Amino acid sequence: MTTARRWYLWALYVVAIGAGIVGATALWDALSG
Amino acid sequence: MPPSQPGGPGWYVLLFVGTAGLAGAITLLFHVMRSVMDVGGSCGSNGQYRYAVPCPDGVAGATLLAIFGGLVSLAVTAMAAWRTHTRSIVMLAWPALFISLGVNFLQYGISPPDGSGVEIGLLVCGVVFELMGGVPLLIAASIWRDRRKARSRPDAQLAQPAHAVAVSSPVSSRWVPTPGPLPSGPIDAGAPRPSGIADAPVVGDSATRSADGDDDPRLVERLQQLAELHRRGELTDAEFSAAKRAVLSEDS
Repeated sequence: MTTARRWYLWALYVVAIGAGIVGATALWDALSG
Repeated sequence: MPPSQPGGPGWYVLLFVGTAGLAGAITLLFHVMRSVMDVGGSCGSNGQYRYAVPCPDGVAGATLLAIFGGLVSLAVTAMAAWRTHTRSIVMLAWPALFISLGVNFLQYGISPPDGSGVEIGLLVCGVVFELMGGVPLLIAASIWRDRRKARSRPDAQLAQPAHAVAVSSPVSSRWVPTPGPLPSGPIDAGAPRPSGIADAPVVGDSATRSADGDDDPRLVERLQQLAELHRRGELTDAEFSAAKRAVLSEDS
C-alpha cells in the first residue's frame, strides 16, 4: 500500500466517521424535538 | 480471498457511506440510551397499553433506525473494504459500541439524574461494557503491533524470496544481492547459498583495497546496492542506516 493511498484511506475513514457522528447527532436532535 | 483487482471509485463511495452509517448508528444508540436513562432507564411506547414511563420522543424510531441501519452499514462497509483491498474497520464497531455505551453507564452511575448518589448497579454495568469493548480492542491492537514488528524484523524476511535474505544481513554477511535474476522459493537458513547471490568481499578486507591503499570501488557499489534496496522498500529506514553505518565503519 502506497503512502498516498494510506493517507487517502485515513482521511476517508476520519471524515466518514466525523460525518456519521455529526449527522446522527443532528438527526437525533430533530427526532427528539 | 479478495478480488484480484481493486474496485472502482464507486466502492470507495460505498466505503465512505458505510463507515459514516456505522458511526452514525452507534452515535444514535448513544443518544437514545442517554435519553432513556434520563427517564429512569426504562420506558415503553407505541403499544396498546398505558405505560408508567412513556419513552421520550424519537426513541422508538431512532432505535429501529440505529439497529437496522447499523447492520446494513456493517455489510456495506465490509463489502466495500473487501472490494477495495482495504483493511476494514468493521471489527472496530464492536469496541466502539460497547465503550460508548459503557461511558453512559459510568457517567449515569457516578451522577444519576435524580441526584441520588452513586449507583453501584450502573457502575458495574459500565465496567462490564468497558471490558467487553476494551479487551477485544487491546487484543486487536496487540496483534496488529506484533504483525508490524514481525514485518520489520530482519529475520522475518527469511520467509521472503532469496534476494531478501541477503538484504537482511547486508553488513555482516559476505553475501550481497546481485542485480541479476533473483532466486525464489522457501529459504533454509542452513542451506547452501542460493544462486543469484554473489559472494562479495567484505569491505575492509585486504581484497577490497587497491594497492595504493585507496578504497575499493566496490565500497561505492555496495552503498549503491543498499540505496537501491532501500529505494525499492526492501530495507527499512533503520536497516538502511545501520547497514550504511556498518559498511562505512568497516571501511574506515
